[in-house]
Amino acid sequence: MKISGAKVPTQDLRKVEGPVSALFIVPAISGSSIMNLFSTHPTLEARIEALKNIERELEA
Amino acid sequence: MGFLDSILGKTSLPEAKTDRLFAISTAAVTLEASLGLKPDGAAGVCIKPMESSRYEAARTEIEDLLKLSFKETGTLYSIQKDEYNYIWVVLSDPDFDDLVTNIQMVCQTLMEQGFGTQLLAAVYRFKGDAIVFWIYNFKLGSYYPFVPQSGQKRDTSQEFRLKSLMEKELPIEKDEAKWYPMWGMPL
Repeated sequence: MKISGAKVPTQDLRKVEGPVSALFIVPAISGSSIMNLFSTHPTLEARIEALKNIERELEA
Repeated sequence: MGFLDSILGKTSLPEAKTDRLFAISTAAVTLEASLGLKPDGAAGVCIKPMESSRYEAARTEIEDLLKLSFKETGTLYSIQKDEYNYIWVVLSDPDFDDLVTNIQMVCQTLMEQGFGTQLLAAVYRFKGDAIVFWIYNFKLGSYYPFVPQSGQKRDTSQEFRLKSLMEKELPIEKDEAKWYPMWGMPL
């Protein structure tokens, strides 16, 4: 067995799992129903989720 | 994620895997008997940041639960935010079984209330010659050892030793590149 510390990370888990990017892009097509393929705007749920993300980012 | 989901751009966060969290309960016996590592009376659950209305809801749920639990087991608790804005439920109890039960209940309650995707990690503190943390990652559904040293260094040789001695009893993450440390935990 090879014993080496090279592979073990030193970066904190909370940094790795943290908000990925401030430029959170909401997909225009969520695919939750076939009608979404023809809609021109994100669904209400997607918009609320996006707003929640922004609020969380601002609080962070 | 299925084929159609990827075509349609549907994304869903993976639910927390809690099924192997309980394994620490029996592993603690071996840790103490053959390695001299004793439970150090502290454990915690780390939860990802969320916006304030959801945070308040989650906090109330956990507090109600832990107040009840305190009457039964005498487990002390605190809820706090860390430097990354992550939320910690920190429990202290000299009885290890009570700690495990309460950690399990906190996770269960959060999952039932729809906070399953927010669960990041559960941590148990042990003490031998040095402090050893066993971190359970909810996304991986496995444990890994973390032996911090001063100056944000870690004792990797001790961590590898713990892995090889405990991998039969504890579901330990096989990919060491995922053994992310958690510095300055509030427990």
